[in-house]
Parts: sequence; C-alpha cells; structure tokens
Amino acid sequence: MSEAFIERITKLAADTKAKTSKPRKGETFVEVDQSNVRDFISRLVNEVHVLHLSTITGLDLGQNFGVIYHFTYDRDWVQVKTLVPKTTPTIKSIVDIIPGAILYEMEIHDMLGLTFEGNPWINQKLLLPDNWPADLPPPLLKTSKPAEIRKRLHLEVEKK
Amino acid sequence: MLNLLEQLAKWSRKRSPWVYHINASSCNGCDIELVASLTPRYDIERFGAILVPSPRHADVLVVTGVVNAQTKDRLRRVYEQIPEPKLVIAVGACATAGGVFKGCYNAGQGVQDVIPVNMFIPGCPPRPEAIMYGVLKLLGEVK
Repeated sequence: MSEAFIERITKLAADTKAKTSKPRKGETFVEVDQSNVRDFISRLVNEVHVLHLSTITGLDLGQNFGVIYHFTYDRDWVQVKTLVPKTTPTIKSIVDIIPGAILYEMEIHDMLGLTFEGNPWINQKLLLPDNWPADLPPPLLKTSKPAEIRKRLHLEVEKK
Repeated sequence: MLNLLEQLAKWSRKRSPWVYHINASSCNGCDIELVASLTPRYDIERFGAILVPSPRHADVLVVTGVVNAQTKDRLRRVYEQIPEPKLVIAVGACATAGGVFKGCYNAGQGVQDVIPVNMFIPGCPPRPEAIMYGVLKLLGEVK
C-alpha cells in the first residue's frame, strides 16, 4: 500500500470524525459513526477510488449490531466498521453508491434482522427457506435457539 | 412362464441400474466424486449404471448433501416419482448423518429422516472406489 494512499484515507477519516488503525500489514481499519458512514463510503469510492466492495459482515455484539464493509484496493484492505443500536435496527443502504451491495445487505437482513433503508429488495428473502415462519427471530442472533427453529421448520424427527 | 419373466426382469434390473442423482444442498464435493466414478478411470458404466436426466427413468436415487428446509419437500417429491422397485443411496457424511451442519438451525440429520435409505456411503467426500463398492454391494443384495 502506498504511503499516499494511506494518507488520503487518514485525511478522509479525519474529515468524517472516524478512528483509523492498522491491525496488520496492508490493512486499514476505520471506525465511523453511523450518521457518517454513508458520507465516508461515498467519498471513499468517488474521491479515493476504492471501487471494490468485497463483502459486508453483520455482527451481533449484544447491545449493538456491528456492520463491517470490506473494501479491497489493489492488494490492500480497507475495513469500515460502524455500530447500530439494537433499539433502532436500521441503517442507510449504500446501494446507490455501490449497486453490488444489494445482495450483501439482503443477507444481513435475513440473518440478523437489520434493515437497510433504501435497498429496494430488502423485504425479499435471499437465503431463508420459503416456509420460514414470519414470527421467528432472525437465525444468527445470539439469542436464537437452533433446536426450536428446526422444530418449527419440521426438520426434527422423533427417534424411536 | 411367469416365473421366468420375473427372473429375467430381476436379472436385467441388476445389470442396468439407472441412477438419478439429486443434490440436496451438497457442497459439490460428493457430486464431483460421483462424477469421477463415471470417468474412464473408474468407469461405473461397465456395470450398466448410467446417470439419467429424469427420476421417472431411474432405478437408483443417489442423494448427496444435508437435507434442509428448502430441499426436504423437493427430495420427497423426486423420490415419489421414481417407479418401483427403487433403491436409495445416501452419499457423504452430510447425507448419512448431517455432517458438519448437524445442529444448525436449518439442517436436518440425514436423508433417512425424509425417505427410506438402503445404503449409506460415509466420507467427506467418499472416494469413487467407496461409491462403487457401495453401489455394487447394494446390487449384490438385490435378490
């Protein structure tokens, strides 16, 4: 990673009140506030030209949801992390900046129940089965119970 | 006369087991090994076994992968379309007992919970020799 590139990202992070760290070689980790994350990503794409979004990770961190956007640039990583409180589980979508994010956002909505505002397909199922009961909590929350979900999906068979 | 015809049918069934393969959410590892057993190196076709494109032409159903909520009903529907007499072979660790997905919210514990299974071939994935051994052993037991 060139020094100039790191400098541009650090400057951008300072503009949007973000914290940067370098956990390992070739990786820049940026922690942004939820209100600034869209602004940061749009400037990352349009000004620094980090164009490739590798994936988005959703995390269940107890009080908060964590969302990490993994960007790659040449051979280096730029990870953008933000926290979303569980009391208001919505975050603005980045589909208008990076159209390829649509499926990643749908996956996180399926698995954690986090809503991405502005994603046109957010209410469609991507990975969950067709007969998924609407009243079940999302499956990858730490509080969800796999055995109960299996029972509801008629996958448990009573052994004789 | 009828007895002779029945014997002829049994003999021909044993020498031409037509196989329909269904992937019930497998990772493709077992599928590749199944295809490898059809290649000239192992050549399961010398025993008369060929892959058929429709379950209605098949005698043997080969299932790979863990059965989940999405594939469960579809697997049962395919099984019901196969004409009698039919045999089911579960190939791979996932199809026999759930494999690495056992205990997951969306995964069952093997094919035998959904349809009756005649032969289990464990392994992750099983070698082509193991698949051929299983198929031939099963056919040897067809009386």
